[in-house]
Amino acid sequence: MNLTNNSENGAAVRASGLCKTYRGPTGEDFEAVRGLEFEATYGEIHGLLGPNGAGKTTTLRMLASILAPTAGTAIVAGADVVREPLEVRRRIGFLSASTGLYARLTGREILTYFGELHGIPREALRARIEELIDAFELARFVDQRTEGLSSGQRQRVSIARAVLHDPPVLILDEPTTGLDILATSDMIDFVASRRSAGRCVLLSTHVLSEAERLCDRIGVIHHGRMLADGTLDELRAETGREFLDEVFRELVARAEPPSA
Amino acid sequence: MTRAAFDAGVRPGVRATALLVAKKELRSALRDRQTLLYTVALPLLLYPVLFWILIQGLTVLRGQDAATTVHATVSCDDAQYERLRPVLAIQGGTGETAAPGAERVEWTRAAERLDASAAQALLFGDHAPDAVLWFDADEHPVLAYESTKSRSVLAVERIRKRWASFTEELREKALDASGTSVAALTPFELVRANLASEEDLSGFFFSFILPMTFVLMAVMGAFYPAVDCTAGEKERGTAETTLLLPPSRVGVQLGRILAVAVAALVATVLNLAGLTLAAEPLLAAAGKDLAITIPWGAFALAIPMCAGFLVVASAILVALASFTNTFKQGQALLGVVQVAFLVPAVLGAMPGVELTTGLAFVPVLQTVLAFKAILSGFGAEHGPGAAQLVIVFVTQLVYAALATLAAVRISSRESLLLGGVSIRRALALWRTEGAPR
Amino acid sequence: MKRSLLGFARLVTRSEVRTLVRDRRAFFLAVLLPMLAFPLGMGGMEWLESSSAASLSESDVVAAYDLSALPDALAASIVAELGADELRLTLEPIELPHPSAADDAATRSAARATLTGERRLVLLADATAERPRVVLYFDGAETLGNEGARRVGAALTSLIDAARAVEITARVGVDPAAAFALDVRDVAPPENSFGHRLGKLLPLVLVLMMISAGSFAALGAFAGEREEGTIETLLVQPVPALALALGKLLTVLATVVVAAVGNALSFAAVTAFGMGASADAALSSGWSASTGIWVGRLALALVAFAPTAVLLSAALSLVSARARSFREGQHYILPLVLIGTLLAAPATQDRVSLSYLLALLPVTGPTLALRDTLAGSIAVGPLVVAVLSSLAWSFAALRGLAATLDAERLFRTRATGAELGARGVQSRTAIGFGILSVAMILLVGGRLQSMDLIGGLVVTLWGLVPLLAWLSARGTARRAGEGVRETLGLRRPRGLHLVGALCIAPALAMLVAALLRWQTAHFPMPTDAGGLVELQRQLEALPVWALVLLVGISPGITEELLFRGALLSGMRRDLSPVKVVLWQALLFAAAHGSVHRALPTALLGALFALVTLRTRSLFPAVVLHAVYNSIVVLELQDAAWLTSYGHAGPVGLGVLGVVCLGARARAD
Repeated sequence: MNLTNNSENGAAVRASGLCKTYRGPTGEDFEAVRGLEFEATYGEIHGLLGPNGAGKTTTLRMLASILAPTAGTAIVAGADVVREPLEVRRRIGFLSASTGLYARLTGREILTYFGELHGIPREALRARIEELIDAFELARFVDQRTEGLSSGQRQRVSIARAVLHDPPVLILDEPTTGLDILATSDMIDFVASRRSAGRCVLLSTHVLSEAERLCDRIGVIHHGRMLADGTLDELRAETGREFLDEVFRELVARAEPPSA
Repeated sequence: MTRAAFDAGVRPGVRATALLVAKKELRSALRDRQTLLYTVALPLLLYPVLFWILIQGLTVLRGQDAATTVHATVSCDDAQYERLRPVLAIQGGTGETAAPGAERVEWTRAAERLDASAAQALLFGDHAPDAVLWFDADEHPVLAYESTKSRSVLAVERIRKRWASFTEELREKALDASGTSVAALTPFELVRANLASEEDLSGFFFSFILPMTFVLMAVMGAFYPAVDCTAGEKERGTAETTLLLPPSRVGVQLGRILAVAVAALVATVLNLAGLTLAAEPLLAAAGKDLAITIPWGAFALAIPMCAGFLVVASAILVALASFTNTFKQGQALLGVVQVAFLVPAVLGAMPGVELTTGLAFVPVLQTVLAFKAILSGFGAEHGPGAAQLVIVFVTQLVYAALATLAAVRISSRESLLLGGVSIRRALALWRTEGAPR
Repeated sequence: MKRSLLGFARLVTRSEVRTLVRDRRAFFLAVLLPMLAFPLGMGGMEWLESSSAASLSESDVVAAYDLSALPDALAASIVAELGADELRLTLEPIELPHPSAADDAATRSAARATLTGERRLVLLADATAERPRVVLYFDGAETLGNEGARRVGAALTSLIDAARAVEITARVGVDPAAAFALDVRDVAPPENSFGHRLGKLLPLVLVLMMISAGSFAALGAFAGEREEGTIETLLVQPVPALALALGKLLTVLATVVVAAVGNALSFAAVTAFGMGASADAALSSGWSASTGIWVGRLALALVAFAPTAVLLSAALSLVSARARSFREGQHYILPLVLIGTLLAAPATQDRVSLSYLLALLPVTGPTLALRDTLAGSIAVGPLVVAVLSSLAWSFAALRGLAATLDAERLFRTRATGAELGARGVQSRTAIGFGILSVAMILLVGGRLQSMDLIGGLVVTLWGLVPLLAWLSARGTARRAGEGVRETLGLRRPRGLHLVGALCIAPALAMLVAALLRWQTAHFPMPTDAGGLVELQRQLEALPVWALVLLVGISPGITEELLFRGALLSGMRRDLSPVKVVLWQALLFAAAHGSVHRALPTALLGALFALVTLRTRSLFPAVVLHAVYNSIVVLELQDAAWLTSYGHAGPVGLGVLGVVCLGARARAD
């Protein structure tokens, strides 16, 4: 896989007309995502902002090819999520707040396992794991079972696991939920470091300060629709508001005019 | 508000705590739709369905049995063959094979007359018959079969039946000729007179089934609730909250045991109801018209004893499950628990094992045997000895108390409540780490 | 580095096994401890059983007797016979009031009063009848009473036989039966006896232990993974879902195999030890018989049983994959244990032999094959069928597993609104309601009919069945937004279809009769099962018109309303016609609750469903059902009624009917 080549193509992620409809137990449809369109490029941190239940997780899962879209498609790192799901999975890293670790395996074993699942040759894998151990300072606990680790240590193993194969696109679903202050700032540093390495990071959050500080571009999602997408300044200009929470409220109010 | 104000407030006693905890545990169990489904709907539906399948399966098997033609080979000379013809119901002239008789035995005649070992060897050759008949040196018929083959056993059963009715016929004919009958030559007639009443017989019948079923169902019914309120508590992370409760830990543990016992009681009653519902058509099909008529007096004795056992079993299971940290480990206990209770339950159900003074002290077995004695012999001359029943009642109470204490001590240890300590350390009950106050 | 499907599966298996084994406490409790405890328990129980039987037969029984009504010589010979040491009877002479009539109430209560203390039996001679009698009083609700009665009964019967033989010889010169005294010999070689004894309980032990250990692994690999939150990570790996499923399945299979081998070894050891302890030299020599025999048998047993390990693993994985948590998963295991026990139980019965029919059943076939293989009496044909059929069952379970493991299902959470929930909701509701209806008809209807046949039939047919039909149709209609009438299929039919239905009824009756004849020839069943004879007798007592009304026309209307009306219209919405017809056949056969009539009722159910699907109206099926049933009722009265018209007529009419029914249905 040639990264530079991909970078030249521009968009790292391009979603077009992405829809996901769940059907309720009594037959009525529930549209979680309704025709989402957006683009993210390499070297950019793209945030998806929205309240709980807005469709962020569903969107990210579709982009990660875990769920199949009901309609529309998306190209992630040059691969189509509908037609080449395996290729997409090869090119992305995925991490969410609910991601667990195998409690009875050690960090090194987990990294080795997922590396092998990615088909990384043994020698290269060993070297890569050492590299990650250095980068994320895992050396002290990487050979312990993860059930005994602190949540911060676990988080670092999870991050290492997600970037094990150096994916050009990283998808993070509310990555800081449930982390303490230090772990959160570690996570923020890590995300920033991916940008400087020329990768694309797709990140969902409902923490406004995080989005404000980290994201190059922000997409605001509400009820499965993209209300606005752009840099913070663009959003401010569009809504004429200063702070992100006001921007957000303004966008939602526009989408849902108060009922008569 | 000052501290004194709290101290003056009501701090629930052990009993009140126990009731409170039991109520909460039961309520949370009842709110779980799945638990409800599996404790209520499953026994009431599953048993009838399983039993129905069983009856239909038996019908098919019986039909297959009747339709099976077994093959037998006879080795003899021509004169013997002629004599055998009527016995074996062999028809046809040349006599190579015979038409199947009413009992569906197809006879083949061996090519030559064989000696004993050669005849036996036929059973192990190719196209082996199911049975071989030959005549020994004294011209007595010998029938060989293999008890490990179901067809062979079937063949012998049929040939024997045919043989017996034939020889009886032979006698009748001979005696008819001499002017008497077999009946007239019988010195006396033996009449068996069963003095047991319908009610006694029904009690006797159920005394083999009910106690064993009760014990097994009570244990199964108590198992999941016990795991849920120990390992489940730890996994859900509510164990810490429990540790912080102001009332005594004895009360908390007692409450749990009580809740488990009540859940087990409900499960047992429902399971027995489902079984009864299912067993009636089965018994009717088997030609047993057993009215379930167990004397009320027996029930009055059995109920407190069963209640005692439910508490014993619940306490033991809660104590055992306290060793586990996760639902998974708790689930893993199931096999062991089943065996531990299954063996005494089945042993107690065996005929000939009766309640003796010594056995009245053995936990679990004592319940099965006492229950059995109460059912089979209530009001009868050789009924259960009052002294032994008293021993059972008293020791059960003692065991319940001991198991409760053990459960309280084991599961009150902070280390266990929070998980991650070795079984050996937790078993050291004499140590006073985090002992109940 | 590219990996194959199997390569990925191997990776997954390795990590899963590691996770499994590292939870040492759980692994020990779930896999290792049962390996020791369960066979010990089973073996122990067998030992306990034999020793308790032995102790019962060695217990002393006290019997009182009053034989004064008999001639002295006879009384003395009876006492001598019963006094034999091996009978372990203690005899006490007593005096009882002599009965005025045989076995009257007064004598009974006198005998009852005598059974005090250690006394369990009373023997009383009675000379009031034509021939002398000896009455043996005992309490049948008492273990020792039964045991004593058994011993005395056996001893006196042989005494009577011997005395009779002496008398016969005296009269006729020689006892003609003596020449035919049959000497029956069991010539089973010791290795077969040992294998038989092993094979009787081993299959059940194996199935139970394989399920218990396998469920531990399956719940961990599927439900546990979901609970831990690692499944998401696993699913974003560039590995096909099938490889993941396969890897996890292999883990379960490995656990199942370990459990099976371990339990088999420990069970064999317990059995061999038990034989050593019981000093049964012939049997224990069976164990040490030439190793060649055992290598061959064990290899064959492995072949016979291996597919079952796959099947059980797949079934366990299938149910575990549906569970969202460990706790939920374990609820699903219990029914599986019960089903497994039921299927493995036939192997414990000596009388059940491996037939081609049984070889088709999952678990049952292989367990019987395993038993017979160990006993050295396996037949090749059924063995092959058993292996092939369990391979087919395993394949079906594997396909189900692969379908379950797709991400859409796995992420079904409350938040995402019961995803998939609605796919086929109408048909699933209809099938569920159908199963419930069948259960109600069998349980409630059966109960009512056992109390009062006619009344019960009326209440079932005109109360229960229409009620169920209405309830089901109302739900379906509401979901589909149409009227109940429409759902029930109460549309005006084409006249041609009604004529067609009328025409094929006689041919159908002949077809069913032929089917029943074929069944009787090939799968005969006892005719008296389930009180069938009694049922027929009660029905025959009714006048013909009442019978036609009750058993002919009534079911034609109400059963059709439920099955082809309410249930079929629910199923039709999301199932293919073939599946609808199959479900209808299954439910209709089940509702009749008798394995005797399973084949014909399945055929009828399928045919009525076909007619309804084709004509898009319920009425042709009602006509066909009612007329068919009435013909059967009339034949019940006069067996040759239909055939007296010859075969040509019904067949010709039938062809005409089929043509009529083939006509296009009325447009909407």
